[in-house]
Amino acid sequence: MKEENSMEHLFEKAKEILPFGEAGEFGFETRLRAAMADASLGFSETIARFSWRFSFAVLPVAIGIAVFLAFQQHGVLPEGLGGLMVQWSQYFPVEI
Amino acid sequence: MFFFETARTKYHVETENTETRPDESELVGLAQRGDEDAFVELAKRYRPKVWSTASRFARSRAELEDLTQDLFLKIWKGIPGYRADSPFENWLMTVTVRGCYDFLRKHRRRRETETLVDPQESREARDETTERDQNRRDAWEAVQVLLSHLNAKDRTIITLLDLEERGVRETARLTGWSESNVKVRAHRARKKMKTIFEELGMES
Repeated sequence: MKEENSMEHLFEKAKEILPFGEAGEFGFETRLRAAMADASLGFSETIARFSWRFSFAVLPVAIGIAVFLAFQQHGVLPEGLGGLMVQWSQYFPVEI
Repeated sequence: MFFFETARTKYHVETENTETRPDESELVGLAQRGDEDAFVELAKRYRPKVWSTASRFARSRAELEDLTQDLFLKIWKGIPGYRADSPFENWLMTVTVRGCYDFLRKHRRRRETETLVDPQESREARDETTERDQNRRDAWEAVQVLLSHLNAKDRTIITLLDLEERGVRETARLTGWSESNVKVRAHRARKKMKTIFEELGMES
């Protein structure tokens, strides 16, 4: 009785079972191939996958570049939308 | 006629085997050069072994499916580094066991707060199994309770020694820890589990 209830006996019984059954075949190959394809992405594909995350960073960077160029070109920031239009009008494709 | 048929059938089977099952070393070589088809074929062959070992570390079938896939991904990434000086299966099981240990370490905090076995899965299994199977399942769940009190390293060692029935030398090779370390840790872990076993009154 002592042997029946020992910890060793518990392990003996536990190792006789595959707790979640046999490995099913369904979908294994498809999922593995997809995971392998993900793992072997090149640099440009990896960047492309996350491009939407970078879109939030694009606006402040564009504003920063515009401000920098404005200082470079004119030495002063434009006042309001009208000032901005006047300052950048030379770059527009049509005459304003 | 009977003998002829038997011989023909046997010959046919042997021919089919050599045609449809390429040599393992050939598959390993192809997989090392990035051949995905060869690797998938290897993965299919070794899936039952990886699944069996990983099932001792997971707590639900879904977790086990994810763990098995992660392990094969590790094997795929690591296969260019495999050197043919030891059998491929040894190398593959080493990656598997170390991957399972990493899995235990990463999920330790989550494991402490979540239930041990998916109750739905457990209930479904209970309905389908015989009394003998049920005893084994109950034993497995009790063992999981004991193992949950161990740290990842001790749990890996006890799982390999006492559930997978691997020897000290093999456990040391698979984990990369020294034999004396494995022995000392196993001794301490068993002592700790024995105390918990008695405290929880599991012997009754």
